[in-house]
Amino acid sequence: MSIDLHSLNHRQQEAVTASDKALLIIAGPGTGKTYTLAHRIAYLLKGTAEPHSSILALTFTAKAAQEMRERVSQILQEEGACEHDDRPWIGTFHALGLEILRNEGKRLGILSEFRILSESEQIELVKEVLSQTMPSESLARVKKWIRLLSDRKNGLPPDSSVASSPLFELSDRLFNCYQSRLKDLAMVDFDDLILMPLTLFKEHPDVKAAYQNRIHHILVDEFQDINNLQYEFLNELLGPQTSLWAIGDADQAIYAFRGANVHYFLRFQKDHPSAKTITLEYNYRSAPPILIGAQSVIAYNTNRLSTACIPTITDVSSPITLFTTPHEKAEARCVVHEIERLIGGFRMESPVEGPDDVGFNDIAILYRFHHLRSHFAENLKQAGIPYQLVDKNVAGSDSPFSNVTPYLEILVNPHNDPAFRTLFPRVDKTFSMAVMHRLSSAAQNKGMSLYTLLSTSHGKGLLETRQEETVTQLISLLKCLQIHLQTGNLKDVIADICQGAHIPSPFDSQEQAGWLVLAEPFFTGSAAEKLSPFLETLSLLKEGETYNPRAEAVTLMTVHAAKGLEFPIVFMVGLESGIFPATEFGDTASNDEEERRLFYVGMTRARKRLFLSYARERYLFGEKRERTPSPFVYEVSPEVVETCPVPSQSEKKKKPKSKQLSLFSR
Amino acid sequence: MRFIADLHIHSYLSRATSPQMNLESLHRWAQLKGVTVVGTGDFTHPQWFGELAEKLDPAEPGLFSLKNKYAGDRNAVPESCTAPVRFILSVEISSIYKKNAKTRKVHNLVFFPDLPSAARFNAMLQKVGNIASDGRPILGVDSKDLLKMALDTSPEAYFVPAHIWTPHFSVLGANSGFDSIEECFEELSPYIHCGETGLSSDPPMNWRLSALDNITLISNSDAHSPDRLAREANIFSTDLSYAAITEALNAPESGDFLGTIEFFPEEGKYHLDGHRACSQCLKPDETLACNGRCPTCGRKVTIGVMHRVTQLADRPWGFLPKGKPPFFSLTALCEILSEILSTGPRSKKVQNEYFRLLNLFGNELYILMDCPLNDLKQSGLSLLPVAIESLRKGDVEITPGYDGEYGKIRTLNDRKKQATQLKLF
Ligand SMILES: [Zn+2]
Ligand SMILES: [Zn+2]
Repeated sequence: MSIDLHSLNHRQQEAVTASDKALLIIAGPGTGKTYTLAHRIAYLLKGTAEPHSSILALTFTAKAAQEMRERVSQILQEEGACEHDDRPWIGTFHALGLEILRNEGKRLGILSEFRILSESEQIELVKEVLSQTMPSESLARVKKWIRLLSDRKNGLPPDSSVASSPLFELSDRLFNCYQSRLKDLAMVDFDDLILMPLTLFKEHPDVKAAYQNRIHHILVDEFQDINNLQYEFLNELLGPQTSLWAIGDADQAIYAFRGANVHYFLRFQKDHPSAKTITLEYNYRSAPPILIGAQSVIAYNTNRLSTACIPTITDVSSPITLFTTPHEKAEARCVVHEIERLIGGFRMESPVEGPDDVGFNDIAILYRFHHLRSHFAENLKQAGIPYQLVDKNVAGSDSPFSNVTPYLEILVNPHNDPAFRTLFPRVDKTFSMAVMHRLSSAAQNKGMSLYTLLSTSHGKGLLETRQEETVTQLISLLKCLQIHLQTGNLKDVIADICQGAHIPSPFDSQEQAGWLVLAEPFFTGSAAEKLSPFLETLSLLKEGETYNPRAEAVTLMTVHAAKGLEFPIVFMVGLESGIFPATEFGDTASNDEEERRLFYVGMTRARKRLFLSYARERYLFGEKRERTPSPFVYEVSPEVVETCPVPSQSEKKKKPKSKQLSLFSR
Repeated sequence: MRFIADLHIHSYLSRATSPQMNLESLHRWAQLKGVTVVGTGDFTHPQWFGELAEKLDPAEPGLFSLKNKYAGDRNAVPESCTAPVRFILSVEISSIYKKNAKTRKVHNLVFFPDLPSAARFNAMLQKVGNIASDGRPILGVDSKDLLKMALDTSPEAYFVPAHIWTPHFSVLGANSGFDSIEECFEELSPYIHCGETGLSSDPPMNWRLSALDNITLISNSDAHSPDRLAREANIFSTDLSYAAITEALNAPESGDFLGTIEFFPEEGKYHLDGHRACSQCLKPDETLACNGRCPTCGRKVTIGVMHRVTQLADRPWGFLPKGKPPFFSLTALCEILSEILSTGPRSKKVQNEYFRLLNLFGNELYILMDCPLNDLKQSGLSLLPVAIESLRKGDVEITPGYDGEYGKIRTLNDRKKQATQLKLF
């Protein structure tokens, strides 16, 4: 029994039907990676008499996993296969770790009802732990400590800026305190989701053997993004009979800053001597000029495996357009103007051109950093063009739910001190670090949670009268919410929180509509049941996952977030030296090859049209700076680029300014 | 009572509109033109909504009047034209979205009988889009969903697809529309009682589609400046109220809807096919003969309304369905004066004559449609009654519009001019 493979090319067929024990598929952009992987899963499912759950497919985002599930079931449906409960396991590394811990965590002494520490809770927990020795650490420093803890868990060397700190010797103590507080709170952090299963496998070989026996096929998507711990985890899962099928593209490895290590991809052959490598060579996505341009850039990298893709799209051949603009405002104006033109004049008054069938959601504006998006968002707003912002800090402050999640966490577990700590300063600004320190110490001395301390008489005298009132109100709101939780659905509970706590509703944000789509499935049924899965989903989100492909809107996102997506029309903006590659920004030690890969990923998102732009002047770090184009722009093969200089506003005729003015001036 | 209504205009807060599109000017020009009921346009715009709330008083149910203190200088309207003016809350929304794998761009008109309903509707739209940057907002909302939102807001909401044949922005448009009302609105199609014919089509063109038999064809100016008011409009004979107007439209057989005032469709800027940059104007069969490409430059030509109607029509040209209200094809008085005086329609000379005539006889639509020719002979313009008679008879010369270029209508020619001169001597 086999599935229909006619829609696949030869290499894809070979990859789908291979019986090798280890196989690496090099799949450049647009070569049908997801398509091939989905067919591979379907092929295994149909061809095997073994339980479907013996197939494990690992992805890097929950969204990719969801898409994979849908594709597989679609292929199977077309094949007339019926769905049943015995399904392949498709999910992220972290989701797999979570499931293993939920099932077997008791072997490590972890309560099965443990919670995942959210990003804001982690900050509070580290502050709490630090407060004994360093009560006034800045947020930036706290984040450095968190990075230190994470690197340590991932077996990475410490960041040099922390390692050189005189306080570095404290890190052992800090680490131990942090771990023991996590245990007290019955919480695990994000890294623990991989680290703990690894420990479990090491300490309990029988558990490991059980998983190894159950899993016959492991498929890994985006293999180039794997990091040290995940690689180790993967190796633990590989039993003597397990086949490994990995697909990815070393040229698209862009997560070194998250600890991803492209070397595992590059040395696959060495780690699996019997392995075979298949390269998917036909690109089904991009018009030839885009592909040629992108490949001319990536060719400057030395550390790579891939060979050039062959274009198959032949009906579009517009060159890549390069806008050179005098400053960032002109850049944004020019891009938005071009969007108006592409949409085919979406106003009766604007000249109607572009017979192409272009809608708003066919267009993406990609940038290296979120800072660069503001002028574009502003201009789109003024032009009345719908747009969606895809957020960076999805687990934290960018989430429209960030204000309500501490409440929700406390509803799950009132003794969640870090959640309480995130809440107080938001409710009442007088809850300073010192006050929080006083409360935490008192609670710890009495061996109770903040909630117990404050909802009983134990908290008496620790706070000023005003603050005590705040606490009383908060506790009564929480009690009210506990009742609503049993009766209403989650959407109502969230609305109640917003009303009770006077915070803006997450449902009013049209720019962030993608979040609501994500949350929608949790809004039906009882809130009490959906609460934990909802919070878990939020805490496992990665950048880019809030993108809503169905929104009729222009998409604004970082190049990182755009990975795995494609758009008929792509604008890559702010392409200036210092920004791309990111040598002027932040704490990420930028690596030219990695940055070039990122540039390549950005370019290869485009199907029909690609626009590049830079400004010769830009406000950065509070001052106006002269800019030069990104070196990568010069690496794009000139024969596929059409340069389009954009004049500054003063050189153009002035538009009649606001009509509103005339009303006031009369 | 018999009255004229122009239900689709835009305020100064829409793009590319005159700064004069404020309530005061609309109030004045409605009287000059002879319109009783004017759409406010743009009620989704927060600033315009604020002005509506401040300057309008509720009048007959569902209609509003301008507060006296804003009604302004009595002298601005000649006594011969003064008449009551009512406003009806209206907005046009541009929906741009994908459906059945094609990008759709559809303009729709939405009406409400009261400010609280409009405010609720605005609040709903605010959550899904940006309504503050343009009086005619662009939303990524499916037309059908928009209709549903309107109906959810109030059962009295009235929803009309705008200028249904415009190539780029309408429900049946060639470039980004649908092939039928049902394809767009699906199970909510029964709530679509009306369609706006737009400047480039007139009722006989629409009658060629049996699919539109149950749609009442209305006409509005879509004015962006006050002097364009009522270049197309609707004639009613019913009570002055929101409910009476919508009922008349829902049940044209009642006879309360007396028909429409129309542009000559050829005058509309998307009547025939063509490519404006190359001055290529093509009839539908000519376009087919050159494969839809401009004979000069080879680019795709813009398909005009006539072509699109021919595509979707299931009846021959000239088909007359039963029970349809009549229509009156007119052109602006200033255009006629421009012909008579051989000078531009916006020239001082034409403007002076225009106001002189209004002073003498009454509002513009009265002069064009109803004023006895014998009276017009007293105007001092011997060609005026000739031109108006020709207009009323439809005896005019037409240069059709295409690809954004307005067409031209001439009510006079040398023969008529000479004949008039002979009679004078
Ligand atoms: Zn319109
Ligand atoms: Zn041409």
